[in-house]
Amino acid sequence: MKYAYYPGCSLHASAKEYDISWRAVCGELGLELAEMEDWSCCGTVHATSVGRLLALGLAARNLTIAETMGLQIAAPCSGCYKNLRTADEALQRDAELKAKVNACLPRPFQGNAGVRHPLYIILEDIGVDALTDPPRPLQGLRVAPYYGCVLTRPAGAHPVDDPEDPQGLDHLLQTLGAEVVPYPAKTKCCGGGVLLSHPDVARDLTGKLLKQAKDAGAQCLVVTCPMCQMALDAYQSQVERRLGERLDLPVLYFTQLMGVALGIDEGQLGLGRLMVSPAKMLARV
Amino acid sequence: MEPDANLSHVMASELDPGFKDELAALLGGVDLAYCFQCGVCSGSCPTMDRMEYGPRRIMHMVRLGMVEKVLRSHDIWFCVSCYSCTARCPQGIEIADLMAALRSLAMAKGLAKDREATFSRVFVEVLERYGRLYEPELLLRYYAAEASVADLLKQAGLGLRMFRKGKIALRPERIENAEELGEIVARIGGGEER
Repeated sequence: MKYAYYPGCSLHASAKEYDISWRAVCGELGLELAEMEDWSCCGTVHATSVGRLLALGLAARNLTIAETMGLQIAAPCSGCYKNLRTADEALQRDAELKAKVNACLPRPFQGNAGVRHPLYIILEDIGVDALTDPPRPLQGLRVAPYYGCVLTRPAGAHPVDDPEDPQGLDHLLQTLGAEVVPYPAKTKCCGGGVLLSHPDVARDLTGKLLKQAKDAGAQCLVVTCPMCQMALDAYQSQVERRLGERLDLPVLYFTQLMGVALGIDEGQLGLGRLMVSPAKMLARV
Repeated sequence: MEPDANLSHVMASELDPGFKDELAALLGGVDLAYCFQCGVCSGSCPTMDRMEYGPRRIMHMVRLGMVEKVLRSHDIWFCVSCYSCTARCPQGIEIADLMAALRSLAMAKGLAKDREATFSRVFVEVLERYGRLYEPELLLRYYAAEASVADLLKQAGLGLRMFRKGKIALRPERIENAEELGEIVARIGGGEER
């Protein structure tokens, strides 16, 4: 199985460990990635605030690159995934809008690529049955799966999971041997979108989430998005000062923890790049 | 926040009944008349406690045509685009997308006065320059635009720690076909049409 890989800006910079571990997991599972040539930024929520047509144009440029490759897009950043997916859906649904955007594109958008997130590529194209007996089961590890907002919302025409009570990441982690900790904030906002513009809001939302996961007995959080990871990991020390409480909760990409379970050498998973060290928690596995 | 006391004294002459249609057109024909003010959106909003009106009132103000009040409001910039309101709206109104459309209108009309508006503007500037995000330049431009050296310095310690972890690139990545991207952006054009 081969995919048009859209890493997005974060996986080339602040979330390099997501790129490293996702590629390692693909290698182990026999998934082939062809990085899209000359991909550009998806625009994120910020381009949408500047203009919907601009956001659609930025997303559509990337969609057309995958269309020429004849492959489905694999987009690991939930923000990119949402932007590309909703643009793909909107342009397919609305012929007038498609004509308007196509008038601005060098290659016309056709709508035959399809946009997918690695979590659901693994769940649907590999399946949990193939993962039931991993080389290094995550036995004894209590993890809090965190889905964030836009992995499952807005739901779209063919939702891959429940928009407010998704189960995909829970199933994957349980299959790999981990104990999944329930907590109410698993699809609530981390504040990642307003980290710098409204730091107070971001710190409040991040703090609530981390505190809930900690109180539920989690030893780590597992995420699917580089913006969530940054808010929860890099800003955790600021949140600790605000709460007046030590959290020390590592925040891993699901591909990193999955790589550990699959027996991939820990040195190949970019674990040393996380701000809150996962060393103590991984020693339990 | 306390609700705006002046909200109950609205001059009809200040209202623009075409406002909701302008928005509906931006969103591909969403009919705001379906909103029956149930308030599930405001009840689901994670930043409701920061807002002056909240999404339910904003919806009503849009329908009344209160252009200035809505577009000058910080509420639309406190929206974190989590899509909880969209997921729960019993009338299927795409409220989070509507908030984004309001933000773009506020920017186009020069009424946006929120730090997130500045951030979005400089984000797109950096994106247009390189085709990809370059975080150090985004931060510098943002704090320069906000004239906020103190806030920039607050980020310095974290920036250094992230740099040591290899999370900050020294040089920007530039796409090869920058002209292509530039042309797309130019053809889409500026202003409200965006």
